[in-house]
Amino acid sequence: MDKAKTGSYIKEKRLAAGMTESALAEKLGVDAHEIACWEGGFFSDVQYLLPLSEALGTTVEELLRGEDAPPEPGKCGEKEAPPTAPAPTKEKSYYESLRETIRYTDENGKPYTAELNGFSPNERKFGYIVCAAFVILVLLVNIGYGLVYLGLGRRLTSENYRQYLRIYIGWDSEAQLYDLTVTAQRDIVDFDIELQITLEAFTYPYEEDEPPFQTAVSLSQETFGKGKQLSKEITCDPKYYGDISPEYTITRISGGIK
Amino acid sequence: MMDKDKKKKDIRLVLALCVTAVLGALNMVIHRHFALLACYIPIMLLSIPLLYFNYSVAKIANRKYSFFNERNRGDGEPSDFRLAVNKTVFWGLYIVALILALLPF
Repeated sequence: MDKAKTGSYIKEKRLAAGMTESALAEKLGVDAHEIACWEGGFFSDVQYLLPLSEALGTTVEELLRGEDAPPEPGKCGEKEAPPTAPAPTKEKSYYESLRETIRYTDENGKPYTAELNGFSPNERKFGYIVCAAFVILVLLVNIGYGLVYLGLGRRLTSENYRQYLRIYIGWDSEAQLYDLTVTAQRDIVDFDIELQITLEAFTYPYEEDEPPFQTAVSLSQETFGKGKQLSKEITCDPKYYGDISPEYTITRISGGIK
Repeated sequence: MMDKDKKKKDIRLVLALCVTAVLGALNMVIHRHFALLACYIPIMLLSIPLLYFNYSVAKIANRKYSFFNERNRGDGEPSDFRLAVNKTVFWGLYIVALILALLPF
C-alpha cells in the first residue's frame, strides 16, 4: 500500500463526488482534520476503509491500490460510474434536517404550512354571513338616506327646521324690546313661518297669578337666500323683562329647500 | 389531506371581506365621517391579512416565544387554543371596524 498514492486517490475521489473535507468527515463521523491527514498520506485507520470506500463510491481494493481497478474482461463499460452527490449548498446535520422535515411537512412529506392558513368551512360560512349582513345594513341605511333627501328632507318642517334655520330672540333692556331674528342656513323658497312667543311676567312686587305674555309672530319671504336674515321687533309691557330666555313654539312653517 | 379547492374558497372569502371593507369605507366617505375613516382603514388593513395568515402568524410568534407556547417541545407548532383565540380576536377587529362604518347613522 502506497500511502501517498492512497491519499491522492482519496482527494481525487472526494473532489469528483463534490464533497468538502468537512462533509466527508461528517459522513464518517470524524474530524475534518483527519480527512486532511489521510489525503496527505497518513491513512492508517483500517476501520474507516469500508465506510470511506462507500462514501467515495469506490472499493476497498481501489483505495488500497490508490487507483481505479482495471475493468474486468468481458465486462468492459458495464462498471457504473461512482454516484456523484449534488454539492450541498448549506451543511445541515441529520437532526436539523429531520426536525425541519417534521416541522414543515405532513405525514406524506408535503409542506402544510400554507394549507393551514385560511379558513375552516364554518368560519367561511360565518364570514359570508357577516359580509351579507353588513351589505344589507349599508344598503338599507343609504336607501333610507336617499328617500329622506329626495322627499321629506327637501321640505321645511317643524322637525327638520333646525338644519336650515337659526332662530334667535334678543332683548334690549332699555327699550323693552325683543328682537326676533331668523337666519337661513340654506337657500329656501316660499318661506313662511309663524311662531308663538311666550314671556314669563316678572313683576315687582311678585304676583303669582300674573299670566305670561304671549304673542304670535309671522315672517315670510318668497326667496330666502343662504345667510340672509329676517327680523321683527316685539314690544311688550315693561313688567315682562328678559333675564329669562323667551320661549317659542312653531305653529306654522313651510318652504322648499333648494 | 386538505381539499383541493380549499385555497380557491379561502381566496373567495378574502375577496368578499375586502369588497365589504371597501363598501364600508365608501359608506363613511358618503356620510363624510373622515375621522372614523382614519381608524377604519388601519383596522381593516390589519384584520384581513391576519385572519387569512392566522396559522403563520401564530407559528412565527411561537418561534419567538416557543418556551411558553409550543405544543411539543422543539417543533414550534401553535396550539389549537392559540389559533382559536387569534381567530376570535381578528374577527372581533373586523366586526368592530364594520360597526365603525355604520356607527354614525
